[in-house]
Amino acid sequence: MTLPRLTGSLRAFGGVTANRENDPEDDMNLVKKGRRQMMRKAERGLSWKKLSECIHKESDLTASETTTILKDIMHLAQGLVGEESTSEVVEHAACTAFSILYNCDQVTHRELRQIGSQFGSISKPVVDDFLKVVMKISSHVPEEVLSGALNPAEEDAVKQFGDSFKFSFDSLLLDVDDTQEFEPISDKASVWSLDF
Amino acid sequence: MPGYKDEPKPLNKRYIECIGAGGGKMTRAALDPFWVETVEFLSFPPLPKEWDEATVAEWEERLHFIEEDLQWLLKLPHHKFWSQNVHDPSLQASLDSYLKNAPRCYDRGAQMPAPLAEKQRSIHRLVFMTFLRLSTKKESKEHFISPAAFGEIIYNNFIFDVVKMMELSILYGGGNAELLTKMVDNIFKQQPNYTSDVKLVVPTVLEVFEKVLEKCGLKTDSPKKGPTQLTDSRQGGELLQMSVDELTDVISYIADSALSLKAFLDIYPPASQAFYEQGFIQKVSSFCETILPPLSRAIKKRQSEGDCLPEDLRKYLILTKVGFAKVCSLIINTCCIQPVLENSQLLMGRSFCYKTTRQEHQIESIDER
Repeated sequence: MTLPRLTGSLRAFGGVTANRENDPEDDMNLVKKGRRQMMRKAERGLSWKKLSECIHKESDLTASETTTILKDIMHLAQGLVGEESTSEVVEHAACTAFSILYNCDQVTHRELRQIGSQFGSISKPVVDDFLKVVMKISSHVPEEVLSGALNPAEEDAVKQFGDSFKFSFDSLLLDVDDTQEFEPISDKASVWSLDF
Repeated sequence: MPGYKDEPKPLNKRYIECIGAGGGKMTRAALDPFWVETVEFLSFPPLPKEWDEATVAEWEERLHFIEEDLQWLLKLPHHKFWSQNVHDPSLQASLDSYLKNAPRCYDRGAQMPAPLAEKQRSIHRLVFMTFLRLSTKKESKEHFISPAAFGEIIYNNFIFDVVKMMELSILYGGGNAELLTKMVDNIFKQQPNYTSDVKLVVPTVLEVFEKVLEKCGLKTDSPKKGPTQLTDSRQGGELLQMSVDELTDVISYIADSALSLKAFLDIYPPASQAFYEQGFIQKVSSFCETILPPLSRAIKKRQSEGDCLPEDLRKYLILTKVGFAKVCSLIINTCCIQPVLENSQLLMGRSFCYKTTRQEHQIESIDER
């Protein structure tokens, strides 16, 4: 619901703002954005290579058990993004679903929505199966190691501009006396108070 | 012999060594599309009229992405932050959409539902911090932009424009007025073209008011100069026939106009000069005299006839009246009263100097005697 605003008119007719007609329309759906976000996160640190290496090195499972479980994850991830997806996309999907389901006891509406926003409509049984594998891995890899792999510390350590700045959420004060009248002086009962 | 260390260079003259696509070393300008990451910033759309469960869930997702992207943006090093802002149209569109559509404190029934309010607060702060960083020409000793280049970058790339500054004023002019004033002062100081832009905006504001009068059937064919006569019999019959939504829109629109202008002039009083020079006070008083009484009468009449009008419409009329009166008061204060006070202080100062010199002269004369 676009509200009537003076600045809307000034944007349209004022001639002092950028012409946004040629800008990319924000028709990017949330699923597409979710995938983009997932790829960017992967580029910034969380990669399948790192995650699988960590599981290989740190789990108390045998090498063949670990290989099998990792293959299972890849297979399930393929189910999330589609069989025609490239191995890169499948790996990103595996990482993303792993981070969402890590530390979960069961698949709720929240997890389904989070995963759905990244991969489109998905069936609960597929996510349930994914969770089972994640839980199995979690029980064989020390918690701090897995958490460390899933949350690369580098990015959090970077200071955000304005972090230490004081910011107020107070909005403008709008005290009005709604007993005021609007009749011009020529009409009877004129009370055009200018005592603001 | 100690090695000579280069003086830090401004962003607009800096080059940075990096690894190219082929893996080889190369240098790139610090402000360059090369540093832009494909993010696809999402926009902040107008709030929906009604919030059902699906809409809330969709908004939750959207706000989460906007928040995450802005947090990432503010963590970027200086050159990447500026390159992203200058060369990524999706970022500019996203920031623009927030300024345009973020709920104002006076918006009628257009506030976020509770599950989203916290996220929106976070985005509200992040957007402010982004504009604060964009208005800062010197972030540190090593990270800065030369003043002339800064003025050009922000103006030529529409990082700031008069309308955005108006929107920043209305959204952040409450608790952050002091900081916002410094930001806006600095922007106008570094780029005088913004002052010319304010002059361009005034006629558009006045034209918009004319259009509102026309829509309400209150515009005469021969526009008068000066205030409307008190006995003017224009009644605005259209106001009685408009749909409730249209009438509500007209009232919300003029209230928003008054409060936006007031917020902007509160934050940047020197802009008053452009309004004063173009006779804004006379024209806006005439506008108020023409439109407010008929609107008030229309509300009363339609309510008495059983029309289901929003209860707070009258409050918006008062807001409009108070808002415009304060705008006029700010303009008069800045353009008429302040210069007189400053001149009189100057004269008092001169008179004091004159008296002191005379007294000294008299003392010298007495001494000579």
